[in-house]
Amino acid sequence: MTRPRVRLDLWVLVGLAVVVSALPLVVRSGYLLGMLNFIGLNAIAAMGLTLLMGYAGQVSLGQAAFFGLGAYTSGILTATYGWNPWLAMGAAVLLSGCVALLIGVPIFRLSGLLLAMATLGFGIIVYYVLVNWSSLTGGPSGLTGIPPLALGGFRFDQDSRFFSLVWALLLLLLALALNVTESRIGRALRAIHGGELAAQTAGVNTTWLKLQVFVVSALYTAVAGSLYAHYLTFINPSPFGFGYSIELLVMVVLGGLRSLWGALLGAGAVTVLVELLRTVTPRLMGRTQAEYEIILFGLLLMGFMIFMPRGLAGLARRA
Amino acid sequence: MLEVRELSKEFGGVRAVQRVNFVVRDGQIKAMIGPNGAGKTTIFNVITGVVPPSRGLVRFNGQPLTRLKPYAIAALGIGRTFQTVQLFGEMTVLENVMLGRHLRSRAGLLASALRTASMRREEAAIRERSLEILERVSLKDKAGHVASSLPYGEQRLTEIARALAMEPVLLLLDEPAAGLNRAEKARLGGLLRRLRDRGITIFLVDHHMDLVMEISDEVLVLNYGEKIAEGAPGEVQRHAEVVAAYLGAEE
Repeated sequence: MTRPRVRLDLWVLVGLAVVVSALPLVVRSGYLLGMLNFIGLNAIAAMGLTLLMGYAGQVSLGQAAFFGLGAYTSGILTATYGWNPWLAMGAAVLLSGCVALLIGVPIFRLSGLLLAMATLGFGIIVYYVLVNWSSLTGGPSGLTGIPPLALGGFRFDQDSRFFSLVWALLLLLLALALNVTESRIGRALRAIHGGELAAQTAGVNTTWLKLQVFVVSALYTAVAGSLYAHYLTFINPSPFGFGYSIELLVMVVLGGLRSLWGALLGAGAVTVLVELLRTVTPRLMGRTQAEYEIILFGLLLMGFMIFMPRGLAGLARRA
Repeated sequence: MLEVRELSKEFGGVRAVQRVNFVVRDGQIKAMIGPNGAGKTTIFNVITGVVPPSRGLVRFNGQPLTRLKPYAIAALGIGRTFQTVQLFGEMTVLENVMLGRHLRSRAGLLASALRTASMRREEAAIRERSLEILERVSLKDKAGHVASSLPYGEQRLTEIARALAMEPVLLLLDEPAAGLNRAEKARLGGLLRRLRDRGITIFLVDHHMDLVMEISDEVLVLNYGEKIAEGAPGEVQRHAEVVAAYLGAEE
């Protein structure tokens, strides 16, 4: 007996897959496709954080570091050492997972709040390494000449081609994550969020499970980071700072913590919002400092949280 | 089966439990009674690994429990419910009970993500078994309800059902009758006796003397963290110190 919710998820997934395959044939605007590509990248990273934060109830403030590790490992291995991009992507994801495991083991023996602090520190360290280890990372000026991903002779080097790749991967990763939430593991994760002691009493090894989910979130984020590097073919450290960790956090909360679909909606909303504020604010306020954008962004978020505490996914469910 | 030796627990100078000794034997219903603050819940928390003891030891079938984490203790076959119901409120009644099958199933993260054939078989078995257990506590018709929407008595039963889903050998119940009406209390008594007859050992804390005296094989009385009496319900009721400390206060 399949649960109705699982079946609904499946239909929406199939519908989305149809839209995704048809879209590049209809939409010709590079600007729009580019935007959708960034939404896709952000959504992949946000899904990882949704599993960690929305399901296991653990806050990470350093997801940008895994995004950066994914992007730079891919970039360095291909641009500097001439690896095949797919191999480099595999290595990037693996490395991020191992790093998450390494910092997760000591953290999860302690308490939940510590994860937020430790990942915050970890994010800062990774950012400074990216900026300062110039011989490897190219320093502040970055790394160029990263090859795009290719299948046979088909190179994912245009917005429309990359769109198909990133959204296909997104749907695959979304399906896997949805499966996890509707399983023994998913129940245990929700139980941790509901009450760690009661979960332990029911036999859930909460330490081990939180660690696993943290690693999964790092894997998802590194996939997004690696894709990002091969999409832009040029990277510098600035998108991998603390600001991006917060943006991901906002996507997850805004989308609706307990919903993977929410991660997708949140990624869409934040990506569009940031872009709108970037283009609209100068027109309203004249060519002033960028700080106005941040203030407006903050005000909009406060409004969202007050009027839609369950996020965009909660709104969709009510409709 | 369960052996508690010279158990003491202090919270910053406050002696919650002092040198308490007792055993819970296979197949019995044993009750622990005593006024509020006598240390009953503390003893439960030490047994289940929630807090470490200051001194003394707890053994389960010969194995020391005092250094194990709660989930490791659960894995040995000790299920428990809490004084204030600890359900996962946003999950359905069925999902709460299914969580109790966690230790009786093994599908990991990868198998779950891929929905392998064995994972799906296991999931179906978990669901079927959990529904059986809900039927046993007469809650099957509430399976799809969100746990927090249930009346209090049924939430208590759901928590017991979750513990039963673990198929424990020893079940610790912290005030299972609190907040139940007369009819629900009678049903609970019947359920606990049926569970004992199926071979589950039960150790409970409760304030309802009628229930405790009716179903228990043995009663342990605690006052100010110390054991003041232990024995068959009839004996304990006649014990002068008990009457003074506890029973007398109610009459």
